[in-house]
Amino acid sequence: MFFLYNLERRVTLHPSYFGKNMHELVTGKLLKDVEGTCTGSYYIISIMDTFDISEGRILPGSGLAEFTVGYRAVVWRPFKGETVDAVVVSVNQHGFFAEAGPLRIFVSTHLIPQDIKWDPNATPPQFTNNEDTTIEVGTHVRVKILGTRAEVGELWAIGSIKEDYLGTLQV
Amino acid sequence: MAKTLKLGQRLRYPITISKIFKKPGDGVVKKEPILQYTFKFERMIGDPALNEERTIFENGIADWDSPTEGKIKQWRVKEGQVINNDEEFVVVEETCSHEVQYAGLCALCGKDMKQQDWATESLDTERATVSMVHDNVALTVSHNQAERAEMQLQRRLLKERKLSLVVDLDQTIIHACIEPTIGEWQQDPANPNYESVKDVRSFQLDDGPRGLASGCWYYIKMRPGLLEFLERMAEIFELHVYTMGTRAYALNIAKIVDPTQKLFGNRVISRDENGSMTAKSLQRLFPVSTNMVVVIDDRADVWPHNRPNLIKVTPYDFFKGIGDINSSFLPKREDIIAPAPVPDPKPLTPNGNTPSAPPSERETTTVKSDEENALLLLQTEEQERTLEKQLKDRPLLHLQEKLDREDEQAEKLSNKDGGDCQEVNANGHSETPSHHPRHNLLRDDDQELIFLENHLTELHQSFYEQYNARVATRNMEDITSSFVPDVGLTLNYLKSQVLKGTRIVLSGLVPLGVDVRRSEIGMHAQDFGAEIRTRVGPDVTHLVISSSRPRTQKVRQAARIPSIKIVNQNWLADSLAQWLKLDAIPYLIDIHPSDRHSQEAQEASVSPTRPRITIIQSGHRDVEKSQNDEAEDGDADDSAEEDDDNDGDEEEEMDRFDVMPRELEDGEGSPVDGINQTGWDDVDKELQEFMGSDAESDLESTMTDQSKDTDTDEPKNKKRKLTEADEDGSFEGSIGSALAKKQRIARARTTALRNVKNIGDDDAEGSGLPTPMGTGDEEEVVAEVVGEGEGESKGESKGEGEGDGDGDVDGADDGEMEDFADLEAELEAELEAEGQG
Repeated sequence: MFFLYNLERRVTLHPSYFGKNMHELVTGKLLKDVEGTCTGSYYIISIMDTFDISEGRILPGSGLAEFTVGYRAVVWRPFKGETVDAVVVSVNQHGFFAEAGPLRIFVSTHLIPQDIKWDPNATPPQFTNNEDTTIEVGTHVRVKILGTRAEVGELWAIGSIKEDYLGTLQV
Repeated sequence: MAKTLKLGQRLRYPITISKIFKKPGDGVVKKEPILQYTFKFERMIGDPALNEERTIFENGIADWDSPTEGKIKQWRVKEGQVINNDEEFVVVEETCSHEVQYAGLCALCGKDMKQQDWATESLDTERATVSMVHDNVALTVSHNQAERAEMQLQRRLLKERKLSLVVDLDQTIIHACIEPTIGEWQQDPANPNYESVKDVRSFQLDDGPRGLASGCWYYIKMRPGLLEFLERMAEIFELHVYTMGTRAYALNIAKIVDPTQKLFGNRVISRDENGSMTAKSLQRLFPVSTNMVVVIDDRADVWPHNRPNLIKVTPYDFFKGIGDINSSFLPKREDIIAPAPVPDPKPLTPNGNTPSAPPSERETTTVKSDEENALLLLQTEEQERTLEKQLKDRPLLHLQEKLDREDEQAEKLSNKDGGDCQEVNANGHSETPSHHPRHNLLRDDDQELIFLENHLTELHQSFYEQYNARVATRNMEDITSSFVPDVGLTLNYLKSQVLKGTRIVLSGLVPLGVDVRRSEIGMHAQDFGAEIRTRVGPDVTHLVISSSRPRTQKVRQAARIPSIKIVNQNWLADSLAQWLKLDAIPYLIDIHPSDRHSQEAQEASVSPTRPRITIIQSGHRDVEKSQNDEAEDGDADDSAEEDDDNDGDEEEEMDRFDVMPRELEDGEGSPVDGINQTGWDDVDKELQEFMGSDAESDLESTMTDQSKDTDTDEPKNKKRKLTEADEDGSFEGSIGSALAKKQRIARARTTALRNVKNIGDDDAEGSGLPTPMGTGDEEEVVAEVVGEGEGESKGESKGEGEGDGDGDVDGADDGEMEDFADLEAELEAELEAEGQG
């Protein structure tokens, strides 16, 4: 789910950048450092704006200036039970991997409807029910997230398409 | 799935079950108490300060919390029961068995497998430890699940009458390099290499930790006939790619080799998913049974656990000197039977001229080679610059070597312009014969895939013959994995028939300190049914020698036994590649006459005429051209003659590189000469003092070494003969003295070249410090000793080889006086011989 979230971060600036456009530089550095990262429980998709850039404080020893920046960001946190659209990136006999933006979701054969079977002889290898559904690399699928796990900077998720209205999307 | 729970080690036994909370059929969740028990424990109470401490027994009551979620199926304990040690007490029907896990999540129920709490008995992640998916290591499955998956796979393959074939990329089916020259050659139809490189494919790869080289172009040469080979193999095998390259690299290669993904599909595994940088394992892909898996790879040592399933392929070396660009993490390749330099048939035409190429063409070639040279130099510089910044795993070192060699060759070619053709021919001996006269470095003449296809087809046939025989009476449904024959055994059997009955001695092919039977080449030959011997004996059938050192001790021994065929290493390499016991005749090495007739010569005690090296290496058999064999044989003979003619020049050439001045070799006018003539008695005394019983090996190797270095030396021939007498065992005690003399001569020579020294100096020097010149020679000596694998134990011969001086001194210390009489007699005999010469 997407949220608009107020966050705060300390940004350091090298002395060679000290000058009148420091605030722009700080914002630029913030964007570079933060956008597209994963904090562990959510992804920071985009920074809307910054507010309240504090006065710079020189760090003793290094001479870098430290600014505390408050900013507003669009974050995405995948929840258990959430339904997302994803693109299949890899298929094997145990299931398939799909990517919903930055999140990689694994859908195992147990969570794929019984009639959709693994067909290793097809080119490329795919899951298919030999009718309207074929899941191969590049297929768009709608997946329900069954569980997520977070480590520093990374998120993983398990998905299912074994429910109504889940599975391949007709593009 | 039912799981049986145990009470666990950490309880204070004995315990009494006081209450059972859940009936069979009740659901439990994690951390929920299912059982209450009581136990007794000791406790100290009272105030230690007042010395009123005492021990009392107390009753404790505790709950036992479920570590898992599910339904109680069966209790194995009753209320009131006393339990004395850890035992199974309840069966729980689990909601989820967590058999497939992805990055610590159960792929079936979505629960976090890495959570631990007080109720956890064992980690849930341990339920699924097998990683068997090609492109992902985070996905693991349980052993049961793996077994099921593999059973399915085997069934399917059996139904399609296929096997699995795991294919290595680098140097097995393709050869890759990042040398930018290739791209330029491709652009230039006038380049002599154009024909060879025009079908080289390339891709740009922004690939991981390669520093500045990221984004460089990779040039991929497919092994000749690859596409047809793979297409035919895909009919009887399911193909997998298993490479030590990165994933991006592997996928790019797969795209080139198999653009439609019909052959490999997505069955590509690279070092990113391998889990090891140094070894490949079939268990990574086929964790349960490798009964239906065949591997083709150019390296056997990266498959430590799967040798039976491996068909070792001759490495494809198209871009000369590049090697395997992805092998930087692997141990250094040690297994190759370095193909003997293949003499180019063309330069050795009867009239002795550099053949066929009309002068004009040769001129253009030279011009081109000059251009190329400049180009290569430029690139050398450029690459050197990059090299500095690149990570050290970059293979540019090899490139550098290659460029150097090309420079050298270009130099020779430019020499050729001025010089006489014949001389050039003689100059270009043995070091650079693989270069084509037209200077196209790259040749496209590899035939390995033809053999490989035959081997694989044969293997497939014989596997399914066995399978059919086993299942003839049963129907498809009953077939379990136990009916599947092991393709590894089949392969071993097929291989072991190839060289069955041959007893091989290797000489000069196995490096120092390596057990011949344990060396790659030895193991490989043994796989093929050959018996490896360490000594030359009458029942040995082949002596395989390195053609670069055709005069080892073993050659001499073997030359006396007519039934032993003395062949160069190409015979073994080609036989192993073709799975055929090839006729030894094209590979025979002509023995040095003094080796051949050593016995008679010794009896006659007349030094033979000036020995010549005549090595016939019509080596490489051309399979397709078997029709022309006769003609080629004729050529080979001619070339042999040609060789003879050139020999004089060659030896002169050798002398040019030799350390020894000419007059020294003749034994005249050198400072040592005086010692030779007059100081002999002193020397004897010195020797008596210093010589103990040195090992035969030392002596032999010294001899071999020297005789190799200076073939033209007549006195030495006599010494060699003498040595042979020793080897025959007639003068056991004389060994030390002869050795010492050799050493003395060697040292005296060194000193003669640089500064004059006394023998006493030599001896002082010999007391453990490395002699200035001795080191190089001695290293070679050691190598030879061990390479020959003589009877002496390795450590002994090695130790002595390393420190001759030490040995001498030790001998003196030991004071083995009883040998000295023999020593003296021997020395005198030798002196006489010297005087005659």
